[in-house]
Amino acid sequence: FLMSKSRFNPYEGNGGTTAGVAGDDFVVMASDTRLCEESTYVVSSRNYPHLYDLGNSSVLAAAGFNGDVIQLIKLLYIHGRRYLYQFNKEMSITARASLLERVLYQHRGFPLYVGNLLGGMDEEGRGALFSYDPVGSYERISYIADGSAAAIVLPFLHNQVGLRNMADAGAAPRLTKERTVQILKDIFVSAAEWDIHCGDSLLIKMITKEGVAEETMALRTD
Amino acid sequence: RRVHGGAVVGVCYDQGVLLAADTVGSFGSLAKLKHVSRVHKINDMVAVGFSGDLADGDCLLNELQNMVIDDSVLDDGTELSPRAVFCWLTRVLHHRRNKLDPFYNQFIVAGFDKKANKPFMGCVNLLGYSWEESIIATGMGLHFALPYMRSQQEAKSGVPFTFEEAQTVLTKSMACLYARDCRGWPQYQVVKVDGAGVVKSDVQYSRVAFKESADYIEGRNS
Repeated sequence: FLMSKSRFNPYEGNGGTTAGVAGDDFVVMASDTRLCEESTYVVSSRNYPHLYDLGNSSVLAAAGFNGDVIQLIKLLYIHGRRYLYQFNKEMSITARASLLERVLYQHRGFPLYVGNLLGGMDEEGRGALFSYDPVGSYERISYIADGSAAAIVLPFLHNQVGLRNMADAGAAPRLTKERTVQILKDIFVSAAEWDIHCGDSLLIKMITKEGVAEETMALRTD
Repeated sequence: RRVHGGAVVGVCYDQGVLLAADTVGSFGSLAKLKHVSRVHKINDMVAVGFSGDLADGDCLLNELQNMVIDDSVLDDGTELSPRAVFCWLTRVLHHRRNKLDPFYNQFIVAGFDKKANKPFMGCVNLLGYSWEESIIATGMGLHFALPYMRSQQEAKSGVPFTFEEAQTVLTKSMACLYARDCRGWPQYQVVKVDGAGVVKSDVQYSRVAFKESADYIEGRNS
């Protein structure tokens, strides 16, 4: 009886589904706005987006354990300000990507339970998207999904953005920002249907060299 | 087993926030302490309420009160804002969670943000999991009070509660918690936070008619 006593579990899943698509001259990042306690099936907030502006038109999509997400955001913010004050310019997206890997790996012994997607414009004006695991392993990628409904969103992106696994896909049309936003809206509606932790509303951030534009859309609230 | 407190319930209305908690300190299923105060004024802009371990909650409350004394000793006209208290609590609770030695509490921070001229309410728990919302409940309140309060809010279609509506919602929630939670207690305190300051009420009583209880049992007829 004593041996089955439950220990304090420092981690908890807090919901959130995120996705990103990088194009030739844009990046679109999307997340739902639900914050929930996965173990007790309680919705804490219906208006908690999982996209964070880090400066210089870079956006971090972070979902997983909310306590660690908040710590990570504050760390990245502090690093970004220190860099700005030291070098009198904002960090480039590749510098930020490398920094995020370091910050995550520094917690290798007690990981930050966060799935990260970092998006921004690179120095050649192309869209850059990086995807991370909780301990910092990362790669630059053209589309990815993470969070509780990743298994629903990612296969759809493989099919519609990557044009994979189709016998007669034909020539791929250039992916536009508008088409990307439409694809993401469609798949998040499905994700909200099939994943209990996904829903409430969708926040989309469109990053171009002009800056970051936002759009929201309602999703199922059940 | 340690002495712990039950639900705390918070409702934002157009001009401020109401926060309520009952006055019992439970020792498992024993109602050990009957006049425990779990909602507290911090300064003229902020109040906090906590549930969970009373010793841990009092320790953090003591720290907050010392910070307020430091502010008044400095006498420079600045005070801890609601967001400052909320951020501090989140960092401290997350830090202790990182040491696998948590402060076993859920805190609700209720305040009036004088710069934005808007009410503020946030919740943070033992893991450092934190969010802002206009309706928050902890403990058993998650199951009994939160759905009722949310349905009342949805019926208003985006218009905030008036003070009277918020009071009604809160009173009914506390009555429901007394009637349905076997560790509930009929006496509770309410703190009101608005632009004019923080006011803590006297002990209030939930009026619940228990129709099926026997006449000869005293103490249940209030």
